[in-house]
Amino acid sequence: MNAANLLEIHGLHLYFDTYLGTVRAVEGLDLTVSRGETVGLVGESGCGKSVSALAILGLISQPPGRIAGGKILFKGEDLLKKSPAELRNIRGKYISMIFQEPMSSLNPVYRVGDQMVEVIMLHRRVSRGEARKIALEMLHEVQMPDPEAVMQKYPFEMSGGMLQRVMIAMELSGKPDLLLADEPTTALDVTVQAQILRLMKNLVKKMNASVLLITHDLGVVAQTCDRVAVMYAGQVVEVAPTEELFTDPRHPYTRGLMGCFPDPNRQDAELAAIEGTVPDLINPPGGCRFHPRCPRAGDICGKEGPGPVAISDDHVVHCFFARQASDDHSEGGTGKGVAVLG
Amino acid sequence: MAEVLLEVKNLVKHFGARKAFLEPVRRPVRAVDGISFSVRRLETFGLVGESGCGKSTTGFCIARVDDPTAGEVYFEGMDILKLGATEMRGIRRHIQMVFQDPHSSLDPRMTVLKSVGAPLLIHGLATRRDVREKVLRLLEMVGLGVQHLDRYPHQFSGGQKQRLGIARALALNPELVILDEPTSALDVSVQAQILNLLRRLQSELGLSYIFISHNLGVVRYLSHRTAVMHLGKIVELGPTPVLFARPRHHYTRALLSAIPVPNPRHDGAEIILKGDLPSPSRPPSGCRFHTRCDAASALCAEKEPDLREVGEDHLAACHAPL
Repeated sequence: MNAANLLEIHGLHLYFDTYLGTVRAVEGLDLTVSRGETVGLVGESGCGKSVSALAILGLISQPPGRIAGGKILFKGEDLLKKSPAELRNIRGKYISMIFQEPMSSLNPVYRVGDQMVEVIMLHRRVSRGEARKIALEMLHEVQMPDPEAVMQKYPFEMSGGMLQRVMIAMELSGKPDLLLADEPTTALDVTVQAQILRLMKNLVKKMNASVLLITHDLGVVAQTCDRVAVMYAGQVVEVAPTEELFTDPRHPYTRGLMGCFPDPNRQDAELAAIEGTVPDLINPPGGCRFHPRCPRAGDICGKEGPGPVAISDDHVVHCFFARQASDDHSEGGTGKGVAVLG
Repeated sequence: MAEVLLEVKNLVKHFGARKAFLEPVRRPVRAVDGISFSVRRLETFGLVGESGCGKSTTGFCIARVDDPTAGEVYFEGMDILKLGATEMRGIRRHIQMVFQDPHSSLDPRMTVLKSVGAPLLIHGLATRRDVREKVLRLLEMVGLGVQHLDRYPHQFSGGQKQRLGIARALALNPELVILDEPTSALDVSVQAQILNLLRRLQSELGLSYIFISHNLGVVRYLSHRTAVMHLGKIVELGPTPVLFARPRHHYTRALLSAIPVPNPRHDGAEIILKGDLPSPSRPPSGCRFHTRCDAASALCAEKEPDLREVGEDHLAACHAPL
């Protein structure tokens, strides 16, 4: 394990056994997050991005879930081998998580302040009075107006944006090394989303924490992440530094995703939609899982899964045509990343 | 200028003022608080705003899914709010709606044939004998086929269900289709398919759209003119390219700058608003945006600005437009 890497996931296989068959939700996921780095995990619903984060925290209930292989190394130790008690100590203290719905992440019948104090006492081993002070400090950090009053409120008395601030304050109060943020702004309005993203970015930098940001929004990724991994149907198809991913996307799926965003400079053009739908993960297509929807799939794509192709040191693509892909940017409007930059 | 198809005048919708006769008067939620606009033939009219601004309620009032508290809605010159239930049924053929959540807008116990065929049978546009054929034609129009006719909603993906919702709305050959966040529940790759479909159908069938969305990128792509709503009011209305390139209202500018741009070299939001949206049951005095506005003066807290012309075909409600 590279010492600079805080988190390394190697070949994670995560299955769910259902009455209809085994859902192969994550198949051979490799991902690293180094210290102080913000990594984006992008993909559409059902691609396995959220369950991967839950697996890191040991929050997949087994059954129906089943970890069928792989390693999740955090500071060099395999989280999959930890006992429930050890994991409890890691959760919230070293790795914490922010969920999409702040409303359902907080207990509706306890005051916000009490919930924060409980978490802080648990992880920092401080007295109630001390914990209260830390909670107030954290609320101040997330720029909450009138923290004293907020401590006395119940979750239903607050707006989504305010609750997400509370969640961030709470999750960062344990000074975690790694923050998993699962669509933290998806439930919020754009003006509030902008506030929360900026806040998260500043706080994380200040605390030198690493972030794994899960989202479906390429705009959010472009504004916040250092590196991006694109997932499709349970597999990472492309990993690259953010800027490189947007200027030189190599995987047809990445390009497809970029083409789906309306380009303000090309009002009249048809959107380059990706034909078809996401495959059923009980019976995923053989070979490359994207090949049935891929505009440039060849015979080989249905037969074998493409291995990693390194375009540069930290730009890896899982596609047989990765090296040729940069020639045909103009084809089918898929050179969107370039167009947007210009 | 193109012919006006629909004209909305001073539309007001308040919720929950007084539920029962003896109940104390509550403070109503002023969801839509006096808005006026018109939709031209063959045009896509975008209605954008954050949650709770009243954009969906406006759509519901026009389709008369909800009854407005006050105001007038003229469709082809006739005030449809004054019509009785029977007369309204005749008008409804011409004004159809597509809803946000494709899962809950189809009856889970009805096959596609029944769901999409129902409006045809109700309005006498098909008989039991030829309904199958007519539904099939509609399905083909939205990119589905004969194999889907006898399936139930649960057998479809989100994108396919939204296609069904569109097919059902088009069954009666309407002139105006109100699209209420038609792609918000869908993944981006599917969203693009649906947007392409909506565009194609508009030119093929000569439809007018009211496109309601919180997604500014999508509205920009599809709409000819756009109205920005904020706490029950229209704050700015203009041709889409002009409004996006040079917004005149401070709220529009903040809203536009908050959209995350899929370009890492972009600086991010220059204008970050303070605080949250005020409650629509207690909107601020004067201009409803003044509590979050950088340029607010004493006048803004006192007097509500009128929607005034600030450019060609371009209106803004601000005492100090940009």
